Amino acid sequence: MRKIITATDGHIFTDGEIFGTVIYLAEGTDGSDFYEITLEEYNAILTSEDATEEDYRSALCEMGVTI
Amino acid sequence: MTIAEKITRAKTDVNVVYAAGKRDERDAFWDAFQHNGTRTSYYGAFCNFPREAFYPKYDIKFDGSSATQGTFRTFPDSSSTWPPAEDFDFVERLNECGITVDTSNATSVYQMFYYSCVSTMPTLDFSNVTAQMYETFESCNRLHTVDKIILSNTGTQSFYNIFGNCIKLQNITFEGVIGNSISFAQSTLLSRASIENIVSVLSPTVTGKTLTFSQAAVNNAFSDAEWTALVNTRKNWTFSLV
Repeated sequence: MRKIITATDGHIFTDGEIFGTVIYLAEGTDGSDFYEITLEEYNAILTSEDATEEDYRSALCEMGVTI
Repeated sequence: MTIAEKITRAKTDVNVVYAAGKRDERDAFWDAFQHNGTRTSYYGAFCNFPREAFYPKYDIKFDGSSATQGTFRTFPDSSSTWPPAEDFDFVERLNECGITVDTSNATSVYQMFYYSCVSTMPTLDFSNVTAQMYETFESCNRLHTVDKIILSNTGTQSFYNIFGNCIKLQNITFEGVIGNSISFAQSTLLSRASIENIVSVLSPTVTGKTLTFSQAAVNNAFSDAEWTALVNTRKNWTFSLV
C-alpha cells in the first residue's frame, strides 16, 4: 500500500534534492528521508535557480561569445 | 525582341543572377561550416547564431561525447537584449531547410539547448547517451513542444535538471525507459497525454527513484481518482507534486 504524505500549510517537503507538497511514496518506503521547509525557504531556492540576465550573459561568455 | 522586352528580360536576369549569387554564397558558407556534410562535432557551434542566417545545408549530425555540448546554447541570436528575442520555431526551420538533427551517435547532451529560445523540438535520439543528461533543455522557457525524446531501453540513463525552467512545456513524448529520477516541476502546462506517456515509460523494476510533476499540471489534467490510478501503475516509484 502506497503511503501519501502532505506538507502542512506554508511548507513543502524535501529530502535535500527533491521537493513536493504532496508525495506519493513508493511502496515499501516510509518517507523518513523527507522533512519540511517553509515555502519562503523553497522560493528562495527557486529564485536562485531562475533564469537571469547575468546567467544568460555568462552562458554566452562561457562559449566564447562576447557581446 | 524589342528594346523594352530586352530591358524587362535584363531586369529579370539580374534578379535571377542576384538570387543565384546569394544562394551560392550561402552554400559556400555552409559547405565550409559543415565540412561539406561531414562535420560531426558542433561544440558550441550555434551559440547565439543569428536566426536569419540559420539555414544549414546538411543534416546536423553528432558523434561522440563533446560533439553536442552547448551546440544550441543561447540559440538563436538576440545577443544584446534581455530577455532574449521572440520564440524560434526550430522544427519549422529544419523542415524549411529539409534537414534533420541526428543525435543517435551522441554520448553526451550536456547543456545542448541551455537557455535557447526554441519553441519546438524535433525528434531527438538520445539512445546512445551515456553521460548524465545535464541541463540539456534547462531554461528553454519558450519551449512548448518536443516531438519525441528517444531513450535507451536500459533504464540506466540519468538526468540532472534536464527540463529546469521549461515553464511553457506542454507536449512531450518519450520512447525507451526512464530509470532514474527526473523532474518536470516547473512545467505547469504539461498536458495529460504527456504526463501519461512519461509515467508509461518509467522502469517497472527500479527502486528509490522519484518523478516530480507540477501540482498545477496534474490538477488540470486529472481527477484525484484518475491520478491515483495512474501513479499506481508504477508503485515502485515515488511521485512528487510541487
